[in-house]
Amino acid sequence: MWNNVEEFRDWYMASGMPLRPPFKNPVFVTDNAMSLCLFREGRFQVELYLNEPFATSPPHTHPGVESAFVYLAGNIQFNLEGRDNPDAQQWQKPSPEGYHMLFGKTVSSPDGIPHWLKIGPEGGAFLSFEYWKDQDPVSVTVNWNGDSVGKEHDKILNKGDKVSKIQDAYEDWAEEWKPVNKMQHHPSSYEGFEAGWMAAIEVMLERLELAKT
Amino acid sequence: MKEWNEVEAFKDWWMAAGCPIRPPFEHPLHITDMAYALTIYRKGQYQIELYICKPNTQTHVHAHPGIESLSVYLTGNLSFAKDGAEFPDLSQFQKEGANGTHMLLGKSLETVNGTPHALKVNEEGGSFLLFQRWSNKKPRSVATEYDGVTLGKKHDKQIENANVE
Repeated sequence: MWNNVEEFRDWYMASGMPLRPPFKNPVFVTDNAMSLCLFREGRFQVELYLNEPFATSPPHTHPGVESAFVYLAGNIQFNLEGRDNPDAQQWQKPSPEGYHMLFGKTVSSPDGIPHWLKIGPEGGAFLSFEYWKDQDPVSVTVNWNGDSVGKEHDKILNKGDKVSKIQDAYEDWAEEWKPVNKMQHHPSSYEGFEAGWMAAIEVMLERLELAKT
Repeated sequence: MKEWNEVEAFKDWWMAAGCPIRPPFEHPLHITDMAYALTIYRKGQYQIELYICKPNTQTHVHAHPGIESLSVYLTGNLSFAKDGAEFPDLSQFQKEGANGTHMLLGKSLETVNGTPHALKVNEEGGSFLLFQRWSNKKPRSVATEYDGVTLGKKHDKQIENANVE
């Protein structure tokens, strides 16, 4: 077994990148990316990420997970808080062998340091090497602290129902509020408005309860 | 340069060579409404695409003219149908195999040589390798050499891009 994520990464690359996807939880889908776990052993795993052209992710962390990324193909700008993040556009060139000149280049992403991505018109592909310190590995897509990348991502973060609840109540209120003609002002009823806020308060209370446990 | 006389021989060589993963700089990624694909190896008229498929999706019957191809199962819940036949029921094989992998890992299907086929993906999503030999054109993606009803707007865009370049 390996002592840290870098050891695992070096072993995997030196071993010819074995393809051994697990039966359990191999594939994850968000609004702009898909992942496949290529190899999992104990608390270590490597996920292949494929990103849509022009995809972005907001700054985020993966609590309890030490990560290291390896560049495969496409046009990817990795950014890590507190580090130099040189513009990767200068390396959008093929190597003499016909691969991307950044193929195999790596950057470590320690637990707790926010990172974010910006993908160019070609899309992007990279490997995410992970050491899950406190739990069995699933996918860093679901172990995510920060804004999500969209509604599909919200669904797998289990935010979907609550976000929809607030959104639906708000939309009902907005529909009721909407003037039918220019002379019409605010309706007399606050019921829809109230329903929206009640839903929001309900979610906040639930979160407070969760925070207590 | 190493050459092969058929897609099966290419697959055997790649497996024996330790499954090298070397995505090309040119056109490595293709996105459709159903799946994302990365070309993990390309040499001459041969290439391998790794497909990751969204859960609960299905293609219509389609063909890839001028391409001989061979699928190798990686994981998830996928079913391939040939020549307009029904999708086979593979539920008996939805089990864990050695080392926590899918019991169908590494299993390959018959070669498809430009003939009609279809793919169904169940709720787990799925992934497979597609070994290809392109007879006339430079390899790009089977998603862009597609004879059949497309999978949606993203797929249409991919085909349009390939035709423009």
